[in-house]
Amino acid sequence: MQSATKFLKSYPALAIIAVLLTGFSLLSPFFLTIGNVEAMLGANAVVLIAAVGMTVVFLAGGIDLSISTVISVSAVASGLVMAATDNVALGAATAVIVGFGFGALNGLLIGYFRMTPFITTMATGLIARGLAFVFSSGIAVRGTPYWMLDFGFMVWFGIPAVMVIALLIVILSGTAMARTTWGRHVMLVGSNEAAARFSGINVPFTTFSVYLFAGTLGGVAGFISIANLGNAIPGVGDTLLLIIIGAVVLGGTGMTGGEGSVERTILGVAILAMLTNGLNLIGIPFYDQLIIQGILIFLGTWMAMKLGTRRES
Amino acid sequence: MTDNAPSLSVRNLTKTFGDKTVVSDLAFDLHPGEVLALVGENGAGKSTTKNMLCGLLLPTSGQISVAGQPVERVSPTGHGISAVHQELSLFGSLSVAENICISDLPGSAARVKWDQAEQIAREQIDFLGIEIDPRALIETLGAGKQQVVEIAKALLHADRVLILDEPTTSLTAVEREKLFAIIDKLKAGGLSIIFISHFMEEIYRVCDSFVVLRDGKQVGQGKLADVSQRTLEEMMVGRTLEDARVALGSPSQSPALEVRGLTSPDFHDVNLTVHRGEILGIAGLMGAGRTELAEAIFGLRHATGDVLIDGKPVARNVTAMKANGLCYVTEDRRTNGLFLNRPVRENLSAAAIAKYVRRAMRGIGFRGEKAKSAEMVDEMNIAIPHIENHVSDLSGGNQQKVLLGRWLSMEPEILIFDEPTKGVDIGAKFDIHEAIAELARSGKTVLIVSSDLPELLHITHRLLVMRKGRIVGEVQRENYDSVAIISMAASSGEEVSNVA
Amino acid sequence: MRKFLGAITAAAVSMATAVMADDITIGLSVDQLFESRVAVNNGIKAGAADKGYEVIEVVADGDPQQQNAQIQSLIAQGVDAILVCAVDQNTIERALIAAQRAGIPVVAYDRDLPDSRVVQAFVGPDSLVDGRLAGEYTAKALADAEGEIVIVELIGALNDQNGIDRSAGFREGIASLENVKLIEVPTDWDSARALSGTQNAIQANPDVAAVFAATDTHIPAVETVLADTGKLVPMGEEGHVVITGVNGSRDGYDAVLSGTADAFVVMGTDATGRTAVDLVSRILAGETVDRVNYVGGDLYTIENTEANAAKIWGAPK
Repeated sequence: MQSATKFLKSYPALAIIAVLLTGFSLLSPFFLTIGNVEAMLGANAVVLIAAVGMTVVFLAGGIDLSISTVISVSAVASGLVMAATDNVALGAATAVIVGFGFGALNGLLIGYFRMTPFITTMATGLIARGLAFVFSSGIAVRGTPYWMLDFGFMVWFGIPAVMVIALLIVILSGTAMARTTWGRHVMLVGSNEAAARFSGINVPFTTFSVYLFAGTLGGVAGFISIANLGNAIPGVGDTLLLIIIGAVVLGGTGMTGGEGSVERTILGVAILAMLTNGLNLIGIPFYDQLIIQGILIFLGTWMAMKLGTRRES
Repeated sequence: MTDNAPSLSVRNLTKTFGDKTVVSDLAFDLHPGEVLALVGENGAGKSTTKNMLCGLLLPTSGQISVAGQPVERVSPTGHGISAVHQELSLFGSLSVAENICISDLPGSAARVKWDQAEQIAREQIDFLGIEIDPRALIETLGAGKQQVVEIAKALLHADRVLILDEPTTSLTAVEREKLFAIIDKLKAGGLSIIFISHFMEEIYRVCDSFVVLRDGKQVGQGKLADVSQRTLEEMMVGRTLEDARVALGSPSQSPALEVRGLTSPDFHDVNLTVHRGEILGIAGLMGAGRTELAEAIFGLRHATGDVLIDGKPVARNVTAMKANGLCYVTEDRRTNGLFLNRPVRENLSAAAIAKYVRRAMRGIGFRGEKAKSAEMVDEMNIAIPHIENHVSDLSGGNQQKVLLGRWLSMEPEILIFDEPTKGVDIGAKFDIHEAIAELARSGKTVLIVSSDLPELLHITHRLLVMRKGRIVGEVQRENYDSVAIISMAASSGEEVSNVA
Repeated sequence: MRKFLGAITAAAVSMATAVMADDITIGLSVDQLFESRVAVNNGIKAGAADKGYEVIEVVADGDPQQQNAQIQSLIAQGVDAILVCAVDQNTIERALIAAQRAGIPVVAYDRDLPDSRVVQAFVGPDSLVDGRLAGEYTAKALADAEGEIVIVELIGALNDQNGIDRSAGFREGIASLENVKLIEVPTDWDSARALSGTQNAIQANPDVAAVFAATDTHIPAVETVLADTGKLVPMGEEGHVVITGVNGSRDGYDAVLSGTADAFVVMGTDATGRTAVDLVSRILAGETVDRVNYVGGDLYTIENTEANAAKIWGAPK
């Protein structure tokens, strides 16, 4: 019992999940149906993949505001390539390369040219958004190969294939963070950049690498978004940024760096996913949902803070 | 209320956090015009006591009386008690007048009477007898004048008791003397002062009485005139201090670290050689460029010139320096030393992960790290329940040991220490001096940069004196003379710093 | 508090039973809410009520992912049919395929999804007819005019099917007039651009005889320009400029009633909504329906505007 309390204290998001799970399954008989759970899992693969990238940037003490529109531009680029070639592998490679490119640009500017993450990624984010709309003339790219649509419906081991991919990314990233020198360096740079430099850690490279990592995951998320939505949509990322940041923070990774983990972000994504789905099911209008989401983020942060202070004293 | 009631009287004062008692059963009186030294090692409970007395913390139990009247909770403005905290709490971009009057600006919220605020500030500063323009921005003032502004600000509300927490740490010798003159003046005016300091000379210079804390308990009190410094220190540490003289060993003649013509905006054409087994000190005033020099040698700062290790030039970047067995223990452990929100384990292994882990593949896996860091914790005698505790949970002395442990685990040949005992208590200071001497005895090479001249005189073989970015003198141990060294460090007409 | 929870539970349970019973439930997925869309939705709800259908309405606020998630939740709730007005073309194909897989028919309204492999039918305004009605009125009003007839046309967005069709319809309507000089003013549906464009056009052609606004929300801008140049003359008097528009907003309604504008074509929002429900019921009954269904609007002048206020979505209620 005591260890359960302790567990809950270090993962306050679990308490919220339990409440949502109980509440929504009482309020809607459809909430826990296989179809709905599958839909929920499938629809949130994009957010989870991008949120993993954002988590790693947060852990290093930075922020990547461009990740959402990098999703858009890599989706559009990938969609155009697939429409022209009907080759899914080529489309996937395009998305990853575009994401990689934007990540490298962010990393170079922030890691090596020491520019502020906030402004830098805001600017590259605008460029990414602009390119997404220019490439696509502002409308969804048609001509997605049928395989992509089928892929969006594939279920592996009872879980939508897109979510299986997202979970694999979480596991790989989590392992890299916990088991490699790179992951350790990310945490230490996030905890105290000056101390990392004084300890002989290659701070510019570590910083560069987290943005590269996040950008690449943005590319992957962009590709998955095509499977999820049926077409590459230039505005796909526009509304995702706050959801991604919210998921990371609700999961328990702070914006100050060095505290949190990739695995926790699953919890944050789960909270927002259940919330959107559940509120849609019980018919709460869109704007009311925003209010509830806002209150929840506030509540989650407060709980994390509260439990955090209790640990210190 | 009678005229000779104590300004402040404390009985059974106790503070607990959770199940941990931080301060227990304090009892002392403070009379008007009395200066009381509150002394103890780091973590003894001085800060908690200070915070209870100035109203930042509510005591768990016990009684605080002000001028004979019991007080439920000390109010920051209502009881005439104010504190100047160790970390200055001024707003750099605001003026002196704004800072002094910040808690109680004259006029209304919508329309502050700035001329009146300036007048108040001017009166406060004039009273302290220091020349400061009330309209000057805080960030344009030196540390000494900032300290004076802090005191002026505190005195706005303190007509009974002023608490000064380590007020001299960032002051030059001249500024310190001015501060002491201010204390004397306030004392003559009937104000009671609680003076918290690590510096024994200062305590004997300004205080009348003392209270010694150890592990949250009051282990001694009385008149300073009745006790020797030695006795006082032993009360703080809780044991008899052995003869503090350290055995330095004899250095070899082979140069380990050589610096040739190192130049940067902060220092000019620095040449020095440290031999194997030698402890070389660099003395100088604040701003002489000592820290900058040390950081440049380690490759943290841009500079021109050469650094040679064992006669061979080494690229001046941290990776190359580490690979050649050189390490640098920073002066400012919180800013650029420790990873406060990470476990002790990760802090220990941060600079030399290869010494901690057994790996099949480069860069992957941390097998062995826990065992090795636990070993390191034992070796460095770091007091923590667990290696997974965050460094922020540790006391200053233990934090410093973690930082030292990080670099010692690299098994360095050459160590550069910057202010190795800054802010640590007497017991830990003794341990650190002994550890440094032991390193030299075992053939390591040590370069120490410190503003604590007695420390340098105590544990170095040889001293270089820096002034305004240049090495201006070299003194062998047999010729150590603090007065001569100080006059070398300060050019004519310049302030003499707290190397004194 | 307990009472409140009880009420919520009761509502949820009753909703759930309603959906699970044999009654037909239509899932209504809306891109976002604005006046004319609400008017169509009201038509849908009225049509559904007549047939005893339940409607679950979800609004995506212009966000394609939200709309996808909402369609998924409609599927999860086991609705019998989905009526959808997509945020944009091709943004919800995957969710619609999911509906198809679940055996739920999909009908699009207001915005067609021509590339969709799922949508079985579309119903929307017949913009060609709407434009033609305005054009025919203008032609009749100017039938006796002599010499060159200058007509200013405020065009909607050129990449928008509604805008293109209204323009084409208007030109068909005025085809009977001879010697017409048509001045095009592109507006991109933007009132500010409509104002400045009309200013330029009328400065260059002071002898303007008629103005057609692809949306009647631009009529106030036209009136402003005419008033500034002293050409805002009431109907029936010498020098009157014939003003027509398409839509059915409050702006058009007021302009026609005040006598400065001649006529406006009101989109058949209510009829569109009812037709959508009709299509659903016929599909559910196994009938085959046309892929594309248009509902034309009605033209109103000062004589019949007030009497038909109930059919004009923008009219004050």
